[in-house]
Amino acid sequence: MRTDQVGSSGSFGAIPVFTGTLMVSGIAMLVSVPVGLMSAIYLSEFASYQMRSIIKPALEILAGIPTVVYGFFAALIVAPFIRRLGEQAGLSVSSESALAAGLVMGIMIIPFISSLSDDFLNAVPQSLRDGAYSLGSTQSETIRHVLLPAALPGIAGGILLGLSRAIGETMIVVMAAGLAANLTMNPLETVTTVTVQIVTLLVGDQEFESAKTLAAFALGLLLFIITLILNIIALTIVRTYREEYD
Amino acid sequence: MKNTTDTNSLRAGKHTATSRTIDKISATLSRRHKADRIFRMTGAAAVGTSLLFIALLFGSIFYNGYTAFFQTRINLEIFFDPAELTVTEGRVSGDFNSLVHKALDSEFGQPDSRDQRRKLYGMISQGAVYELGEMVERDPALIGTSKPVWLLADDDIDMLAKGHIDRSLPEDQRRIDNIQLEWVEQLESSGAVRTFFNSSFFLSADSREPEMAGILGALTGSLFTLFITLTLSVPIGVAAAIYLEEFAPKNRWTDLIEVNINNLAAVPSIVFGLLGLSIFLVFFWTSPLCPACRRHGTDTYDVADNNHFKPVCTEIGTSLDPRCSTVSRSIGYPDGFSSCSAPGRSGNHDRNNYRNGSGTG
Repeated sequence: MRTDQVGSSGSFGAIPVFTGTLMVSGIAMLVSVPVGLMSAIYLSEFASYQMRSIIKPALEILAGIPTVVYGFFAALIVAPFIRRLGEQAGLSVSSESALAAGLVMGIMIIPFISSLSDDFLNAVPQSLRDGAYSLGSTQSETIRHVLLPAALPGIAGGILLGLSRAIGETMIVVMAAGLAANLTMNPLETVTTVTVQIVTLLVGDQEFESAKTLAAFALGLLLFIITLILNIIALTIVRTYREEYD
Repeated sequence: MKNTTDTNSLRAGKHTATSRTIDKISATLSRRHKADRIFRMTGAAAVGTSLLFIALLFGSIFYNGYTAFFQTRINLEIFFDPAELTVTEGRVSGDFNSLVHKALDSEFGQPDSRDQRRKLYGMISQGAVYELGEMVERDPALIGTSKPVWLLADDDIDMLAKGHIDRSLPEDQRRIDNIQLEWVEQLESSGAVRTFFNSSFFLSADSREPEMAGILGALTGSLFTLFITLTLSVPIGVAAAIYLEEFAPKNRWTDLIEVNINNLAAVPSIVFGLLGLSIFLVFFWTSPLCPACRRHGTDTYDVADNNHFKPVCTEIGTSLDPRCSTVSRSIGYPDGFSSCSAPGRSGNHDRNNYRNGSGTG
């Protein structure tokens, strides 16, 4: 702590970085859940076998790309694009925005959600589909009223796993959303997340015996607890559900 | 569908109740089929969006990155002046810079002002000097002869040749001066500017000269990390899996262990980073920035002294700088190059210094 910060010691806290984390991962989920889920439904229910055998591995390529490459994409392509778009609409968009980071993070999570949802939709027994068709349901009605409710626990588990991935993501945010903590609800502004705050506290040519190191460890502990809880819930759901139809 | 309705109307007289339900269903049928089509199209659109993202991602990375595989070279007639070069025990020393300068002077006529001379000489990369040195060392018979050589161009010239610098911009908004542009265009018209495959991108480590920089250092680091990770995780992971699957009894404890192992995979990588840092800080009492510092410095970690690591680090950095140990010892390089400062990110600063502050921000 610097001398000029002593008086404001009560105003240090994790709220701004947690707000940033929630906003960025919220945007990411808004992108990835609809796209991922609908892709999974299309691939498992509508697409032909050939189409599926090409598109599914292609989608899974997205999961294998290092996140630093996504960060590049966010910082060099998406962020300037959003900025230009915002300028045309008369909005002030900072060159590093939560929206850019969230969008690209959403792209990153699409394969997690689509792949898991696809597996669970396929695991629903054919007898349930046949039952729905024999009652006169159309295909989309079968999917919406029979398949989705049956596969819902698995899908929810997949979404939670994706969310914990989004919360723990670092590189995209470092490169595209900025480094300074900022308590705001505006996705067009610069924000930072818990993970990036840890990075800025620890990386660089600096000493490790300060309180900053302990702050980083505290943030890390919080992050660990949150993702641990999310993962336990998700894994429990996925496990119990898998056993149901096996 | 039409058939069904026809049959329905035939039977309508006998089974009024049924026909009413069927009428209801057929009335809503077109709406339901429309909903079906919309649902299907939404799914297709989602798949299309995902594929579009993949295409965008790969397209943009490729578009931004592929020029790194090429480097620009300038063809100049180099006279290997015996007055400048001396061979002692198979090693060549001499002022290779002045060879390049003379070649440029004879191509364009020596500019009068210092500033213009600096601009002219700055068009050729410092890497060209190293390459000339290696060339003569391989073949000392070159001394006294004259030979056209493709010399590595400076990064600004490289960017210009690859079309990343807009030639139509006014001079003060461009990294290249009008006079340099004129020289480059003169060279281009005589076919003396060409792009070659950039082998140094794969064969050299980071450099303060962008045109000489490569990924070898980073790649080696990645491979080391990969190697250590694999030697650690493959035996432990496979053995744990075999034990849990084949030998361990299925009870609450093994269940708990399995859940925890699964959790490990989903813990954010930055938490593992903190774990690594704490190992450095707690067990080795040293800084991850300079693990060797403790050996050179005081015996214990001095909490009060923030600058404790820095002088030692600079020393280590210097002795590890590959240019100190190999290149400058075998080939006598001009002043300012034989002295190696610590390698680091301060590339631009160093570069501007030895060029007498020619930085064009």
